[in-house]
Amino acid sequence: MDISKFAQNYIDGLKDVLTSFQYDVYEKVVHMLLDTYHAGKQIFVMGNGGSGATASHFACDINKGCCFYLEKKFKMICLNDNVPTMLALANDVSYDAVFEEQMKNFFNAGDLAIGISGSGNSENVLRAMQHAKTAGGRTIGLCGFSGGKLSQMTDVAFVVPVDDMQKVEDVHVIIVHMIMQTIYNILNNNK
Amino acid sequence: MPIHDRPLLEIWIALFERHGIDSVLINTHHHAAQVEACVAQLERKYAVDIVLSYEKTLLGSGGTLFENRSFVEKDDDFVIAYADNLTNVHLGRMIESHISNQDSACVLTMGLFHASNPEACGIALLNAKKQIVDFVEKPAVPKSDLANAGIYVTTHEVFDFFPEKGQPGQKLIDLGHHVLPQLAGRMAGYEITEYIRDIGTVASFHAALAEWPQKA
Repeated sequence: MDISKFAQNYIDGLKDVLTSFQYDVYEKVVHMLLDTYHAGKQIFVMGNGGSGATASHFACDINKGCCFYLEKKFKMICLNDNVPTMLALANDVSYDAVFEEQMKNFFNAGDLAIGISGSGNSENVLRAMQHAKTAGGRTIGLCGFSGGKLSQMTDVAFVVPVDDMQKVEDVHVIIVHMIMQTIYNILNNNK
Repeated sequence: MPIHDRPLLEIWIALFERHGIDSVLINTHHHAAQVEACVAQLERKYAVDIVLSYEKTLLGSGGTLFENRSFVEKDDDFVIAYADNLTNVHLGRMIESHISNQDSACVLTMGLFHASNPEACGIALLNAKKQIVDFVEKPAVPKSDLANAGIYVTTHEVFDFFPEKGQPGQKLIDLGHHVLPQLAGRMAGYEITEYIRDIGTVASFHAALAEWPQKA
């Protein structure tokens, strides 16, 4: 295998997908997070596998990274970080219910739910988004490929239009970091 | 065949590269010169060696495989794919599944998808161990909606199940009709959860263009 050629193709593909970055959708996502922060409401985020890691990373960067120096804090909860709760729900109810059931405990009207799913078709994420809508919340989908069901049901969907799941996840992490820096600058420069 | 700004063949070669398949044989017949020109560009771009095999007289899907069996003689397992499918199937996972299936004497693992029109497809029925216990081409009364996706991972042993060459009336060897039935009890199913669509008709090609990721 030509390792360098493989790496070059991977980077070219990543650059290619970044050229189609949807700045207008990105702006909407940032505003929804800021609106939720100013309203003192909660933000829930979740995903499976690599998307679960991105969700955990997202909550860390927003909760600590964005507002460490601020009195008013973000209240962001990553639902796939609660491993015993997830395992109990997966074992006793179903894997499709692991996020929705936790939403029933904590989600209030006006809260924001962010679902991350590369395919856009992860049933447990879709069910949590449906709960958020029914409970009077707002929803964001971070997806890949052509968006799947998640992009159809959320208020705002950021779709990374590429057929390679790893590049979808790469761009999702980039978005998380961009959001962190954007929000940090907006909140900390206006103190 | 362009899918937005990329030839379908490029999507396949990129998929093979992504999943560590470094050597591919492409069978050509119609528009062979066009395929050759496309392959010349793809070989420069991708870390995949491509061999072209021009088939002057059509041999059937099984006949093509048999004719080119020396290409895979050093490989225990190899992938067979109909290139008129558009897919981002995780070939790595499918190959892993095939290797784990070999504990139960499986020779071939067939990629399956949930079809909306099972009566027009080759339909498989799986048992709890994902072994194919029934496979029928275009069944009048389908026993499931799991359809043959035209993507297989197989061991080299598959060639032992081909009909004898030179059998009376045996001009073409079709994989679906002449080989798969011989593999009864030795096939497993792998459910493809990623995107897959046969784009062999104008209508399905246009549907694929609407579904496949397109840069804004």
